[in-house]
Amino acid sequence: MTRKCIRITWLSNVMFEPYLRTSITHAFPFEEYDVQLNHVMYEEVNDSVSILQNSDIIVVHLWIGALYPHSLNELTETKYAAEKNYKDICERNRALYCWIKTNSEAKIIWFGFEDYFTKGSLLFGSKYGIFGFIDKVNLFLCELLTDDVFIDLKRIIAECGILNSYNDKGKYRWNSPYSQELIKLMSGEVCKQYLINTGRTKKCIVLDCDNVLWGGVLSEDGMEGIKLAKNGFGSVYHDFQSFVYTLYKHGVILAICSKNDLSNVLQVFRDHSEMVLKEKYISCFMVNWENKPSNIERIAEYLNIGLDSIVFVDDSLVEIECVRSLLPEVTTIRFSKYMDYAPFSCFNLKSEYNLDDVERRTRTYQTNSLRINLKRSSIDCMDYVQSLNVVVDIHKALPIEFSRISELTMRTNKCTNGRRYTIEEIKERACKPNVTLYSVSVSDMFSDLGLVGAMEIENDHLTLFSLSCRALGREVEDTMFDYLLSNHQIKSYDYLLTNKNVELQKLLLNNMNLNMI
Amino acid sequence: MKKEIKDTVLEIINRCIDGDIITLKQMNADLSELGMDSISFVHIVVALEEEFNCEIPDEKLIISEMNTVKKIIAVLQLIIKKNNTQQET
Repeated sequence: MTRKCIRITWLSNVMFEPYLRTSITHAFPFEEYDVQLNHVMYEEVNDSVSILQNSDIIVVHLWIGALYPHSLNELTETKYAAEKNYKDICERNRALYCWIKTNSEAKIIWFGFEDYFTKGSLLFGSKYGIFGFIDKVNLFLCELLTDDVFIDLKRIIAECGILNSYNDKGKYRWNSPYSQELIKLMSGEVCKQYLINTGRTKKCIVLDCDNVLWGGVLSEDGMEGIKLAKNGFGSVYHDFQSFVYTLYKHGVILAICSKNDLSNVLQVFRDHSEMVLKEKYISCFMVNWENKPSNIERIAEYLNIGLDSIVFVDDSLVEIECVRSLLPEVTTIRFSKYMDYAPFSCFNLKSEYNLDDVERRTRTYQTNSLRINLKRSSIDCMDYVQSLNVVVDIHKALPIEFSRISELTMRTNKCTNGRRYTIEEIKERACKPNVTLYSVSVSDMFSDLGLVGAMEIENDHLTLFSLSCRALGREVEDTMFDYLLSNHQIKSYDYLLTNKNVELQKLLLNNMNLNMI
Repeated sequence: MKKEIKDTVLEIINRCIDGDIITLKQMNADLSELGMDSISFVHIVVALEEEFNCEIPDEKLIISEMNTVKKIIAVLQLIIKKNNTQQET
């Protein structure tokens, strides 16, 4: 696999070396990424325009102590100074942000201000006494950075521990106030945000039931005997279900893989008053007494996703080891009552979501069994597609659809020409007069699949072709090609190889017989 | 001993500075003109301290105090000499 080069510029008014280079390099998986770091000092930013222009990510951090070296105590301790300086600090940050935006197209990751270094609590205790100055400025930054990423540095310091976050020797020797531990966490956050921004995430979580979603063994204890409640012994399972529900809301497909009787499991999902996860959230129930690796393979086939998109959660070490050895592509997480949730960070999710889209997607997966039955009873593939009554709607993309199209280009791995767009890129491209972006919505006799495809043409060049795996096998791709050929004189197309899109290259060659770029 | 310090210092400087390799012939060349900035300076200082198991005094942690190979070696020799004297007494 060729390593992807990521150019990171770290802009700050304090030094992060000697720890930054090592931390940021180690934060990104070595086998996948070649990180090139430029540490730029805030005072020298005007001389670093070319570095900023050639960056993929610009990380910004400003130390309030260096911005206001003479008035820091007043700023954090008196209301008057805080109010007086609020406008000034907001303007300085806005000016810097606008300047970076003017000079670079890189994604900005901005660490907020923090004031734990002041040591004031040693004298005054921890009473909230700085009139919320830092929090107020951070709130301003958060609103300013709507198209980029604002990171709450105070939260990261809380995770690291205030006493572990600073390095006085570094501060007084070469103006490097933060500890190696904190810089490591900050670097990890930069990597996390990069993965979120590029849609590098797992798609599906496959859950065991007994001692994962509830305590006890359903086939032995019965629905009344299992432990599941908001309080008391069952609360650990209730909390885990709430956590899984968050994953669901943000687009992760939920599937159940349990050695049980399906009717008993469904009864719990339908009738147990403390269940956070409802039957309607689950795309696929694979509940039987067969071995779990086979069931996980069936889930992947049923959902039409790769095994490497799946995370399997079980409390049994035997099951975990079995899946790990037979299906090494599947990520496994062993559940235990007092577990650390850190392994779930393999899900890199955006904070915003659209529940309507999520529910529609889940309904499509749920009705897959009906489609499979119809396919089995059809004479041939053509007969099956005709019986499905597939309706494909292709229209010029509306601004309201840009977010979904961006998500689609990021998440699609199989039927894609490899082009991935952020929302900002789509907005920018949509303004160009020679660019036409289409959205493709599909429905069939069982459900409305929603917006599952996108195509983009720049002059006579096909720049984007993306179709969700949910819509594959219905000849939607053929309809898309027909539409393109009858409405455009396409002379060439983009194709970037991902690990899974070889089939699309064949389709493009067969259907278009054009030059690939 | 003197030669060893020279070689090690040059190796560290070349590891920390991007650009052309600095040689023994450039003992008096200004390193800030050869690519050393405040960030690579910190890397050089940390590497020297680790290699020679010493702490460079704060007053020397200014680029102008250690901006040539010769000046860096002089600082290190001073520290080593001081350490040796302390050990003897």
